[in-house]
Amino acid sequence: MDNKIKEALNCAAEEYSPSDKVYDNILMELKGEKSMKKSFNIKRFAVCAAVAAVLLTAGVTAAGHFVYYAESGADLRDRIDHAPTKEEVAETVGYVPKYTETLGDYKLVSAQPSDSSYYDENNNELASGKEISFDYDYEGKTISLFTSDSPAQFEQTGDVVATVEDVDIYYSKFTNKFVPPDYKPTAEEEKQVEEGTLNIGYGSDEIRVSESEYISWTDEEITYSILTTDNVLGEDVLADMAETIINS
Amino acid sequence: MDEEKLIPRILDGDEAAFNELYTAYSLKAYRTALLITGNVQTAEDTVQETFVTCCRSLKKLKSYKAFPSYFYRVLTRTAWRLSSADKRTDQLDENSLASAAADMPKDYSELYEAIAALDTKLRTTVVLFYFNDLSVRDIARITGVLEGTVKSRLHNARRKLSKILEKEDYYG
Repeated sequence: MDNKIKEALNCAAEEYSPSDKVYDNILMELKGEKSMKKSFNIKRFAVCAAVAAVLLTAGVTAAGHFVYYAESGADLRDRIDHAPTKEEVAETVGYVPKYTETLGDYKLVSAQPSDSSYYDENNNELASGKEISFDYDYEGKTISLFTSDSPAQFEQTGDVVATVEDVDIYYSKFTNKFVPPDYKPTAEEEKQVEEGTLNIGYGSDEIRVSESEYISWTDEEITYSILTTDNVLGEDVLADMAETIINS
Repeated sequence: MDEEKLIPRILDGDEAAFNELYTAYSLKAYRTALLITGNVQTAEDTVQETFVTCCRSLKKLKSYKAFPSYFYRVLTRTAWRLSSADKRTDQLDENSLASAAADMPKDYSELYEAIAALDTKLRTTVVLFYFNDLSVRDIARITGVLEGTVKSRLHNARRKLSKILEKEDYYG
């Protein structure tokens, strides 16, 4: 019987081998790049770009779920520590997105250019270039307006909560969890990641949880998004801010 | 495979050394994960996560000789976790190894299906013992139980398989 068990197991498995992508994915992860997992979902593209920025801001490394976005760096030395003029923006990133001096009670205080690249599901680079985000402050709280003129065509994510001048505005809400490198997500957390309601960032010394909202739209081939973290404003307030920018 | 020479090279960033390690471990690791999880995609994810976890933890190993045991410990736990998650999200599909069992010779397919029907801990013990040719002591280290527990699991697995096979008139 022992031999029969051994032969049955060998027979069941003998024709199977790991695909080449396993080796490639391992190397990419070990090199600190992002790997392609079966859960690839292009619809999460836009939100992941913004969330990756949150994770990077928080000082942790985005995990495998941000596989389709890579930010090669937001160099703080390039930071514009005042409300930039449109000429400054054009000179820095080569395009001029719509932005305003204020968003509700929030006042524009600084801007941050960054280098970004976008990849498709086969890890081919779709586009790369400079982007810029704008930080607005109010009573010690910050919201950020991200802009991109990348030719990479990505879908918006979330629910359409308003339409302004034929521009659909999408809203979504999710949880960020910053965890140590050896953290193992629970089955429930893995399910939430699949659903796009949870993003896990590995590299933190201790577990921290924050709530984020995300609103996005595309206007004249420039993609905009506003991200809030631990400062929930609600979809109506964010949609009003989007409308202010679209009409500016 | 001389892990004591290979691992320091990997820690120095030698990609060729990692390639050697991958070549030596990946096929057996993949098939082990496949037999434990029963799912082609889950097995690939298991192998990927296991290599990444192990390579990132190489510095923490007290003895490089312990790498094989450590590797299969990580593999086993990863396979259990990912397999469990798959069941919860109904991801078992055409990637299921059971669906391919129909193409196996009848004797083997019936026996394999009986092994696949064992609960996870028993199935893992059977796979590590019969497919990986590991000793009871090594299996105890990998699965984190006493040697007596491994022997007990093997005994229970054989008993269950015998019953199924007798019922199916396996030995004709």
